[in-house]
Amino acid sequence: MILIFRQDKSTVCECQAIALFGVGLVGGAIVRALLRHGGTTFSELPLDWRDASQRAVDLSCLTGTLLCQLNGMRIRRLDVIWAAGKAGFGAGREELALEIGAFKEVLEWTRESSRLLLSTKLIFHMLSSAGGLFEGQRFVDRSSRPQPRRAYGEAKMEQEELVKSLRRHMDGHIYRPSSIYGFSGKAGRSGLINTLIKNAKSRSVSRIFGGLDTVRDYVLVTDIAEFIARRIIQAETHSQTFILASGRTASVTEIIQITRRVIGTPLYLRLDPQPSNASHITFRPSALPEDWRPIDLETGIRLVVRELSGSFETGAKRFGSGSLARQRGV
Amino acid sequence: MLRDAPISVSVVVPVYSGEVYLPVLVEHLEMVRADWRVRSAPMDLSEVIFVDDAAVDGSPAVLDRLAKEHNWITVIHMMRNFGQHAATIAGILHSSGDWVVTMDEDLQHPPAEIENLLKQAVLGGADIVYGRSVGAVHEVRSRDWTSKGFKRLMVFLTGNTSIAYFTSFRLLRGSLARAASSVCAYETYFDVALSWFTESVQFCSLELKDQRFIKGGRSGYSFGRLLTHARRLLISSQVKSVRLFGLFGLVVVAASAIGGVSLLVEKIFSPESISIQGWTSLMLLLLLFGGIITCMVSLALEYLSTLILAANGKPIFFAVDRSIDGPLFKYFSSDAT
Repeated sequence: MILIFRQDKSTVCECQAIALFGVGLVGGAIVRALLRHGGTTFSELPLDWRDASQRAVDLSCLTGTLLCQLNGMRIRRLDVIWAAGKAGFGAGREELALEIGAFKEVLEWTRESSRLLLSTKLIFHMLSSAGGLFEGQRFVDRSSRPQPRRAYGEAKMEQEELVKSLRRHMDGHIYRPSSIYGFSGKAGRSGLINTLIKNAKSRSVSRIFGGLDTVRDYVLVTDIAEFIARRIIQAETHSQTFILASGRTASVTEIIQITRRVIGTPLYLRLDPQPSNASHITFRPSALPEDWRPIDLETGIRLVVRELSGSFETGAKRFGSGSLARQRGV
Repeated sequence: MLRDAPISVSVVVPVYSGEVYLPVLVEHLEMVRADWRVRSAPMDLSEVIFVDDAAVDGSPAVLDRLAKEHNWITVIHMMRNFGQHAATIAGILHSSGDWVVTMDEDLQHPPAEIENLLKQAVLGGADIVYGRSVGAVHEVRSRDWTSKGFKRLMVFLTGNTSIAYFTSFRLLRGSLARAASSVCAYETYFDVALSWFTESVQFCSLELKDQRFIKGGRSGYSFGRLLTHARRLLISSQVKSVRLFGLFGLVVVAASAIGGVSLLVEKIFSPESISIQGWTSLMLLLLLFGGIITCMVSLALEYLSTLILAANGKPIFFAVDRSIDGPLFKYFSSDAT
């Protein structure tokens, strides 16, 4: 996990702390977005995702670090961001139970922190999944009700309910991104677009789990990170649930065509005769937040290809998790 | 695959100067939408996508107002005028429906006929249904004849018989519409791209009238635009005349070879019958090499044509799932009896 401190411009004796759980595709992008906004220092702290007893120790260390940091400086606001989740779309209940267990512990830690930091305003941000919640639904709008079809979606719904119960004590934002694509460095799960780009570059075969006519909604990770970073930075907030989709449908055929056009090399594909992830998921533009301006799909794919090409040249060291481990001040 | 019910229909309307017609069009579409819901029909008019193709009148503001009033309306504003085909493609690429209807902004294509197109597609097992006018669309003989004559010429030149049906009032299977739209390049003719994916094309005879032309004498088509259409149609299609050209070359080569053999026989067995020396053999040589060159040129054109089609995105294959038509088939079958 990453602990970030933002120095207030108006006063030297106050700061904002941000505890980010999960430095994967979205988490890493949020850190970079916060860095772009300036006045930020951050450090990576250990958090054991497998061993619950070790995790309890790690969380108490995190509390200690927060209190030490006080050192004459008041933490005006603490934003806790849950962007973790190793379990993917096809994950089983056992794997997801571990994740929900960790999530509950982080929520409990947040509650405890609110008791310890009495003069600090606490805000909880949770990354959910529009795909998991609305799988098989098209034309999703603000009145659409989540109807998960698999364990992954049910887990996300359970997590959302826990955040909603937290809203009695503090602000809790829920972000429901649709299918995310973007440069993720070396590690982490990879969606359709990322897989196509990476495999096209390495001349490998991509396995398509959806149908060629499956329609989805794709959003660039930097757009999501920028939106969340704005919510973290802005002074006034109130609990909200956001659907972060593009409102622009794209079929798998179209994604393949765009990727092929952008990369300029053939894509080697293997299609599943009985696709396991072929449900349509689309969103109406009216469901999206007003200040949400997602980038055009082709431009987004071009940006990812450019970043990936850059990472091939620099060995991906700059963007990998190693860089986040170093103490850094801006 | 798990099916989402009901069968969704998306409507795509490119807009260039429809300020006057748009509120009425939306009213008609809303009536269709409400009627289907009241009748508990298995299909739903789920979305209407208006593509403002840098409209020259007050259409953008009208569209934005309509989108605020109806959450099933989506408006896409194009940065500049890209043309009707590009606007239609953009709209289709934003659609999610199982079926997609494309129609004009000016009430030439009545929304009430969407159900007839759907019925024709489902009962006839078609992937594309074009709305074809039974009468004179423009009510001006010269204008209607020009349109028909142009299509017949294109059918002759390209060998694509579907061209005779091409109109902008079409019902398309959603997966096909989005796939064809995604392969379209800058100069690809959209309807030709559709014909790369399916041969299940039908037409539905309808009473269509170009009210804008009949009342105001204004038409979206000029002679220049007709030529542009012809050029794009020919570029997107495998031109049949190139093959005829090659065939002609082969015939010439064969004729010159036969002529050469007969001349040789004549020279050997009755040389006294040849009064002028050299002229016939020169002509035969010219014919032979002319034929060979014609064949080679047509072969090169055939290669070029294949490359252009590949660049335009002609697919190697495309699979279709027609099982979604089941509930509609049942509904329309019972309706017919």
